[in-house]
Amino acid sequence: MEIIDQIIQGMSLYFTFKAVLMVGIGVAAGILVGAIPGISGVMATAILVPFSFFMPPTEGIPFLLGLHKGALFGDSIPAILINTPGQPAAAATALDGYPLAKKGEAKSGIQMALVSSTIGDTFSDIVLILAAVPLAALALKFGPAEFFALMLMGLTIIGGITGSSAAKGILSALIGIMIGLVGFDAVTGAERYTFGIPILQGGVGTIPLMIGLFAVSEVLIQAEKSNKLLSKRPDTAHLKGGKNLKLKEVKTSTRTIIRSSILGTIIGAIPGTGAAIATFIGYGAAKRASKKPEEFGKGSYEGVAASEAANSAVAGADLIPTLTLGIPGSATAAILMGAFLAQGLRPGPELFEANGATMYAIFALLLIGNPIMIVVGWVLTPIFARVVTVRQSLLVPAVLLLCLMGVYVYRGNLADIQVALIVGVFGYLLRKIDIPLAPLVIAFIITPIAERSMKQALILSDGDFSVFLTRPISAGFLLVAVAILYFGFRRKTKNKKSE
Amino acid sequence: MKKIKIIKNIGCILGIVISMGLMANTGLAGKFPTKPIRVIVPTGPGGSTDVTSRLVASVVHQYLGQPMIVMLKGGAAGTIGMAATMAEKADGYTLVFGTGNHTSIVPHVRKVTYDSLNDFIPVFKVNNDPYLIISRSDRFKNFKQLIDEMKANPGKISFGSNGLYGNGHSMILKIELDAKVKFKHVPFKGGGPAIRSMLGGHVDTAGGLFASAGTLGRYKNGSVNILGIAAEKRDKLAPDVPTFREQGVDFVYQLWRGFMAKKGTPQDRIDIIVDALSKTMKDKTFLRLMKAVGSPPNPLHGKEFKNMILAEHKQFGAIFKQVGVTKK
Repeated sequence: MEIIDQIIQGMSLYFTFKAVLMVGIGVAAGILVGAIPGISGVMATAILVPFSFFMPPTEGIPFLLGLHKGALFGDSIPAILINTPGQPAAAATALDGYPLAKKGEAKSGIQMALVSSTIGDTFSDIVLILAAVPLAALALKFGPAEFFALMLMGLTIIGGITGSSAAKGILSALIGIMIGLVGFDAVTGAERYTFGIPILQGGVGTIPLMIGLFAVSEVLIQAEKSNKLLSKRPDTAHLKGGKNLKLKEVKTSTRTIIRSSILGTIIGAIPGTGAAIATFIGYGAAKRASKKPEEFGKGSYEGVAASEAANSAVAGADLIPTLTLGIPGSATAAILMGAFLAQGLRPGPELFEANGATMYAIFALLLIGNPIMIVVGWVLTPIFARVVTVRQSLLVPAVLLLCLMGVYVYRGNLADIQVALIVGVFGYLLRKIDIPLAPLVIAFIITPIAERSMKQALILSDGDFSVFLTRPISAGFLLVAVAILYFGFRRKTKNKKSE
Repeated sequence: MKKIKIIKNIGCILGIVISMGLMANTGLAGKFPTKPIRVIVPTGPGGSTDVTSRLVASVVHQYLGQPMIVMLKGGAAGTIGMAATMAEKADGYTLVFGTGNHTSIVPHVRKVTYDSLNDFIPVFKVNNDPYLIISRSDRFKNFKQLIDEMKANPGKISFGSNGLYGNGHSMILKIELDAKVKFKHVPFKGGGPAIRSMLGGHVDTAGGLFASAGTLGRYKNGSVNILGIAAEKRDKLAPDVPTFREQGVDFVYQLWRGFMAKKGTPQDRIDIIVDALSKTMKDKTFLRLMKAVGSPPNPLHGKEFKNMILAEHKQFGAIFKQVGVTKK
């Protein structure tokens, strides 16, 4: 009965019109700042969090919850409109979102992202509210060996998203691994591929890499066109961003959305894996299962749905393990945890005991935030979609400037802008010879985690490699990895024979 | 033709970058401060240093007459942020908000372009938290049991740290020296993952603060034991936990967070900043926020602050020298 008392108490404290309004304001602020190209959701959260310091908890906490949701979705907007994902997970969204925008279907593309990401978020919110504590116990079973095996499995997923040529996909992934190895070795302290440049000691920054690879290379691609073509309004401009999303498109993607939501929730329950891996696994699985895999990468609504649902299932529900376990699973969650502390909310095991009423109110606000997200997102989408009507000669320089500013804001270092430009030229060359960029990004994200986990596991086992096979969870992941590779190659050879 | 266009466009990009670099800040003479003060925080977002700096900044403007603007310049164990401060003018408009890790540990183990003792003036310490060694309560009851087991099985007991030659690693190096034992050191990326691995039973012990990853709550509900505390006297939060000194390890390390200025900053300007910060430390809103974060202010400035850093720097210098760590 105590629980019911607590729930009622929490509702009366936090479930006011004002609280719901603050969720809405948080969502809108998060979307608007997160949608600036070059400003990632993490950065948007960091910029907006101090506003909550001077709000009473009954307003500050709802604002932060809304902000978290809004900033997360905000990342997908520049990914779709101008091929500039603000964070690695959104790179999967850009794979199909950008071709959609080019076809003149920007509005419905963003709406697909909005709908699928909200469904993914809602699904994982419910699962985690019901099972946060047992899931946290399961997550603790993940030691270094398990992390390594999971990351290795993530790498094999690249096979599914490589596009036309497996060789080019593997080449791209190998480049990603190389870039991922730059910096201090976390275990021995050896410096690798830094050439004595201080900015590279901690590794190539994720934001400069993403901006360089996607935004800067896109600018160079556009620069090839004649001035006449660039100063003309785009062919699809008369569509004004396109039509609204049709129910039919959502319906055909239902299975994909559910699959991605489940995958995202499971992977997201393990803190420290990151949304990028879950997103690419969701995207890869959707492509394998799809009736129209050939449309993936060319503007498939299913592709957008697959990545956005998985992304939000991980990151949207990130707060729940953060609050119950006290260990943030991502950079955004870490920032929000600091802000919660300032509101007198101490994430961790004692939160339920000391602040039970508040916890249930937070859960309720997280859920109610999802329909608010749909409404606010739906209202803002047509405004963003109008970007596709701007002529390239104006849009491209503006985007480049915003992106480079975002790279600078990331950690206030001009050297990061140099990194972004160098990576940009490199990314442009890769695109010219038709090497896909997605495998590079996913390998770049996975490599440091995989390497560190492998070394940690080997320290603990005194150098015995069998540790990866004798631990059941680790062995299971490795088995799945082998299966993915086997079936992947078999399908490739079959396709060749049938041609 | 195409190639020329590409080169032209790269030229445009470089032009933008160079012009951005030329937008240097222009100094103003007269009363201090007449413009916002930039505070460089040499860490990533979300950590206790970042949060503390933002809480100070959110209140101090009332007493300073100008805002403090927090700028995160993380990377390379804080050396990028510290070096960036050195590149600015010594006019009091740029401060760095660092920790003992930046002044007293990192310069011993990494090549740095500055002298953390002589190139910076310690201005004002805001707060500090003692470093702890923790384990699951079903693993070790107390420090003695840990040391006994390590003596029986040398190199078998593992410790998860927040990184190579970081706070936690430095702590166990000292324990190893004074107690004549050997840990199996497993570096993680940050304290959170290390504590999570300890909770999952993958490593035997981990390091951290009371505020790290719900440690205080777990200590209170009995799921973890704090085996030792790197403070001069026992802490009010856990009065039953003996200090390291009580247990034969001469190690005191309070992770402090505070402001420093570049050498050459006029003393009258430093006095104005110290005065505003002293008033902030007594501000009701600030005290409420800091109490909520769980690390109430413990201000220190002037000579006392400087002496504290000197002692700390000496302690870590001696540890790394004895262990034989050379700069990487």
